[in-house]
Amino acid sequence: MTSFAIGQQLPSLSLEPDTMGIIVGNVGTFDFFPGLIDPDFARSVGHKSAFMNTMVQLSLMDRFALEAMPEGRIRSHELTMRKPIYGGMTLEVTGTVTGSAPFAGSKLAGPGTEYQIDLEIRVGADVQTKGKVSVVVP
Amino acid sequence: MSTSKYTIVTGPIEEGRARIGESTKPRTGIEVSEALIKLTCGTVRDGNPRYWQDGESPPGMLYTWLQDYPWAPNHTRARVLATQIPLPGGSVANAGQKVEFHDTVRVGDRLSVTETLVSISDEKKTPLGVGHFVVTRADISRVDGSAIATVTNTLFRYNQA
Repeated sequence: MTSFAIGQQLPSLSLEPDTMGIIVGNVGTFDFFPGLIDPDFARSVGHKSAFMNTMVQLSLMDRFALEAMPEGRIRSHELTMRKPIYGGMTLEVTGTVTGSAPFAGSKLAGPGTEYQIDLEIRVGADVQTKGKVSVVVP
Repeated sequence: MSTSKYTIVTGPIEEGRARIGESTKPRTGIEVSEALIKLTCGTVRDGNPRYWQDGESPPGMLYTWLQDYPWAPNHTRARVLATQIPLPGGSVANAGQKVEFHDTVRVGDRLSVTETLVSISDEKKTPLGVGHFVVTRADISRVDGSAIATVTNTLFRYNQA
């Protein structure tokens, strides 16, 4: 059984999507809102270009959590998107274990420990997205 | 009440707030697809074998499986509830989401969702524009009724400043 300490920083990861990568991710999640796939439309509604959607950002957060806790199961996750993510940005995901509690088991995951992770998706010093992921580790 | 170019229903906030508590009928999404899983995992460089070999869907892709085809024969495209509530803002940007999972989604599953309008904020000014934050809850299950997840989503409905 692997355990994690409260306050433990988890290994960061980085991603450098270009605009095509942003659009492909949005299409891969079947999200065809025009601002996500059409840079001209995105600019017409106040954005710099097409931007990364919620599902891709959540998937990036989940990758971060499960690379640190590969035996774990995502029990919950949440995010608040403060600034858009566009192609050409260098993203860094960082996070810290902020809580733990026994988990009795469910259809989703067997018994174990549920860890809370607070994380951020940053571009340099700017926080684009703040998130929380809860992972059950056997 | 009117409908903008991308089928976002606009109108006075009073009309929108009158619909708080309203729930949609259940609707189904697309089939859980191995190809879409791998495409999305590729864009975030996620090599987890659960997704590439074991037929699991990444949790972050949950809403993918509730999307609709842009066009299909004899089919009217489903719309997200928060875009169908009359509000002044004709543009949308998702602001946040919280998901609690009850089970794992796998290739071949077909999901169903019921959405409920929870709240509409007072007018807010943001860098994108002026508008209202719309909170909805989604209860997601397989089409056989087994629970998958409960989602609380916040969508910003705005007009450019």
